[in-house]
Amino acid sequence: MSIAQDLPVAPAHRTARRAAPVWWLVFCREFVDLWTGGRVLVLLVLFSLIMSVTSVLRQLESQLSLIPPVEMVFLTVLSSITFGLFVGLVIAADSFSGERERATLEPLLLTPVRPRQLVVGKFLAALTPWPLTLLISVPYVWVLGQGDDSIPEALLLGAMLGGLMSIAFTGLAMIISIWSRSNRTSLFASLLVYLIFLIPTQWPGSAQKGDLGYLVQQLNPLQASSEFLEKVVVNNRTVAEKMPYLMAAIYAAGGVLLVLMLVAAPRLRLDVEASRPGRSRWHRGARSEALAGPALVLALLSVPALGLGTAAAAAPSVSGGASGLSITTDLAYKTVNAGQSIKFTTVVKNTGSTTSAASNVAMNIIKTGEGEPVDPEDWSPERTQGVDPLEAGESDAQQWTVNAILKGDYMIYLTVIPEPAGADATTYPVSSPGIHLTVKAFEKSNPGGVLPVAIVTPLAMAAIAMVPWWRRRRQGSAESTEG
Amino acid sequence: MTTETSNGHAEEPRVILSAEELRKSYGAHQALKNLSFTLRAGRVLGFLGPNGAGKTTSIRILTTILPPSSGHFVVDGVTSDHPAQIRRRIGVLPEGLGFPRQLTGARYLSYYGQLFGSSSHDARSTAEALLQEVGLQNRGHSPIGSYSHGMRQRLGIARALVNDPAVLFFDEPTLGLDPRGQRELLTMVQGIARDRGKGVVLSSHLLAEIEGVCDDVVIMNAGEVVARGTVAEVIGQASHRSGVALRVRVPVGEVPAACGLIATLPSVRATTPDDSTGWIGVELRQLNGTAAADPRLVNTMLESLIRADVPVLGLDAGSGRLEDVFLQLTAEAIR
Amino acid sequence: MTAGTVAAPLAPARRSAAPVWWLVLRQELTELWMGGRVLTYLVLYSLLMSLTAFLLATNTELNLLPLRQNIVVAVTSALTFGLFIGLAIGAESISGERERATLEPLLLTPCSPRQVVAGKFLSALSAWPGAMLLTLPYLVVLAQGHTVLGSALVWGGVVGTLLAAMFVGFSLIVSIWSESSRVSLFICLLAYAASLIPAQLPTEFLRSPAGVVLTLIDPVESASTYLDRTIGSGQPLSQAWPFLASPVAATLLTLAVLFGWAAPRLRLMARA
Repeated sequence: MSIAQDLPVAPAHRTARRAAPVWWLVFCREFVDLWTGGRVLVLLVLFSLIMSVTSVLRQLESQLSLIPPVEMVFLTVLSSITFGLFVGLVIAADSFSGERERATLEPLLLTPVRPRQLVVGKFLAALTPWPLTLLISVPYVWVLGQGDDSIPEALLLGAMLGGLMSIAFTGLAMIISIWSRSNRTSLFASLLVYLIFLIPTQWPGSAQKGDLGYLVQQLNPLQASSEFLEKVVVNNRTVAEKMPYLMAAIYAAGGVLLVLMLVAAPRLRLDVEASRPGRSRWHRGARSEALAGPALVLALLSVPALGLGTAAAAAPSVSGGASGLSITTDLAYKTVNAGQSIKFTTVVKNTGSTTSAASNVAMNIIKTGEGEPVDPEDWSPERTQGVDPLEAGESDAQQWTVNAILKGDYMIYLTVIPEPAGADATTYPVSSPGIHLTVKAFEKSNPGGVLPVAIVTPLAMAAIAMVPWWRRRRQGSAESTEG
Repeated sequence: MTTETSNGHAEEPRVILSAEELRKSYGAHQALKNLSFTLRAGRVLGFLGPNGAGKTTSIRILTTILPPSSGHFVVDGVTSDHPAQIRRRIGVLPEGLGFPRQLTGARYLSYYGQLFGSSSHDARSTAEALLQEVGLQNRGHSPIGSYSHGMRQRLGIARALVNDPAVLFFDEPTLGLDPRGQRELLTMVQGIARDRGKGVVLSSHLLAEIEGVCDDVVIMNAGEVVARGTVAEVIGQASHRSGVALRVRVPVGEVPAACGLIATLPSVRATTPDDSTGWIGVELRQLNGTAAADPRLVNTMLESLIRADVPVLGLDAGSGRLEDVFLQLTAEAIR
Repeated sequence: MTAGTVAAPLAPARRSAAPVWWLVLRQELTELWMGGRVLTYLVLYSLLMSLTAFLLATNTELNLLPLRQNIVVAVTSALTFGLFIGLAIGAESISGERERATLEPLLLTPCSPRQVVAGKFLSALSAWPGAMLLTLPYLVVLAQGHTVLGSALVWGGVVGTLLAAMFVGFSLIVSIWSESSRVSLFICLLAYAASLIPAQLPTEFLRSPAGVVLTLIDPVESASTYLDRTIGSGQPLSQAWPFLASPVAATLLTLAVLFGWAAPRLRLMARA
């Protein structure tokens, strides 16, 4: 008779109530820690102080009222997004590396809890500052926007974009935290990544244009979000028009979530090396992350060979109008490459019997079909030219230069606008025939000779950065330790 | 460690550290109430006390990290008004000390040597000598990140010696070490005092080892000193208060029977059994104000236990242990 | 208990061959640069600059951006990056040592805290010249032989050094009073972000009197305007100097607070 048979069997305990899911337990604990610790609240107080100062400035300074309300709405919503995602990033960067350093991760991993559930709970807790940030910004948006009609749309889009950006950057920081040996490294790396995405948003507007500029905008979720919000809220573009930018934000958030939940979370271990995916050279030490960069840069820099542009001219055409003025052009159509400029001449003639009023000739460019609207200021240094009063039968010529910036199909047209006689009068603008401009893609692979420097410098830096790492390996980082 | 005078009399070593009525308050909370003691060169002073007793606060005050709320102290003739001068004369191994992972042990010691005022050449020589002394000569050029905990503690001791101090402070140096490591480290500490003639202040929870290493002890509880003196004096004070002259250990189940047997002996006044460990304290009858000392008491007691077939697992015929004193004094203080 | 019977004479301090600030600086530089941390960041920065330079060069060919403006963007990017790195290093220089329990032995030496802080200040500052040096090849190729290169190097160096010193100094002040790196880093970055706020305001406002005042008060915005005027528009110092005054004043004030007030109060615990 075995001992086991003599042992009384304890009755199976039935739990009266099902235990809450682990991710919820972790979330609640993290949430309480975060908010009762006081620091997030202090930051939100700071944020509201900054918002208050801006609002007061707005009310006191009449000069500031030069900014249209809708633009103030956009700026305020953008500020809250920037702040919210920043707070989430810093919290997430501390989430696992901090617990490792404080030696509080081990007891968590010693429970039967799956690591993914831990990650979900912490991730959701790290996202909580964002909604409150947006909520705090609502009264300021209302005040600064002076109750503008764009406010509801701006808040809704801001909530969506802010949520996406918070997910993307909080998730990214959490991935870095899972893979970082120390809190310091994790914080540093997270902020650095944030900075690299942030710097292009600080470039002047004209530096962000061009095909490559627009591509970079769409690759950078921060830029894409800002661009989307501005164009839809301030410039009244439709969401459909700006969908590529919204998709960039969605892809960023989705991509980061996938990596976090499917790659990083299941591998969460006490030991950092065991947490990192695989033992391939891609993830050995911090230096190897630098290798990913050249691949990306080279991909971006690979541009097809230079094409040839063709030039064509056409016979000028004429049209008249009730004002007695007519305008003709000496160019009907032309095909060029992006980066080339075209010159043409218009002639304004007084076909009437009396002296004409002084007039302005204004140039406009539109893109045929769908696509990025044209900002004429980028295409031509001079959008209007003045014409003095013309005697009957007299004419005046104007020279124009247009720089082909983006590939596409365009129509250039010019309008003569006679000055009205007074406040109670008006005039009839007269339009020229269109100049059909076909622009082929910019295909210079080495603009300004920058390519060699752009490739060699990072490679050289990477080689220099490998030196300390290689020295440490030589010194024997795997020396056996003695008791 | 005493020195002989010219007429052959032993001269007490000089006082190397003295503290008078040191106090430290944080608002309404008094972390240290009234610390006074002296330490002579070549001796080891043990700071004992439960967590929160004020040991680390005391050490931080004596090492100029924290200013006292009142009181003063003197280190090697330098008063507490001159903290920079005091720091030249002390070496400290703080509790939980961190180390830069990528620096080698030799470079680490050399750096601190230079910070204490040595030239780079002298600092390097001193570093090599200290590494030899603490047994790290073969690992001195490896990064500290590759050291075990024991090695790091030894490196910490070496760093504390880099400026050839007059007084050394070790705050919980044996924490996290295995028994062999603890023993080696405490031997090193003892050697520093005896062989180098330094004054050593040692704060620890390892009471059994402290008893073997320390010459003097200060027992603290809740910021107050509850006992001080040499180890023998402190144990004797507690034994005198408790009256326990010797202790015998029997199996836990035999404690009642053993107590009954021992109590029948003529010179035994009472027994104080510990039912959880099986130790039985034996209090002797008082004769003319002192405990009756029967030189054959131990033999008689053992004989009666053996005759009754009670296994004797241990015997402490001395006056007691520091651990008992510590527990007794800190429990009294709590009460 | 009585005090000692015989007071030992004060031992004379032995003179070190090198001053303390130099010893600390050398040690910190070794950790930062040979440890590989700053080099890794500079690799990332060079990737960013490669992309930036390619974009700027493309835009020049497309006549989107004048050459001078290209140079301003490149210098400003170097500044933004170098300042951030210096700020982040400075923010954790003291609070990080507290967390890693390596501050106490430093305080147990007879070194003056001011010298320790000076060494850490200079080492945190070292990231900026590294970033500027790395920007040099990009500036050379973007300038395409134009004389603006000289102006960019001179004024970029001067303004960058001023701002770097100001930010590093500020971050060290915060670090001295922070228990943890996370707190000090956060505060420093908030201050950095706040200094970037004026740049987000529309150009029309910045040109107004109130905008000019705001620009002059904010040393970062003021410095940026100065670079824009000198490098971007070719204005001489005699015209653009008001915008240099703000960063100079802010830097001097920060350093005075750091070395005159904060450094002597360096303690083991932030709130001792």
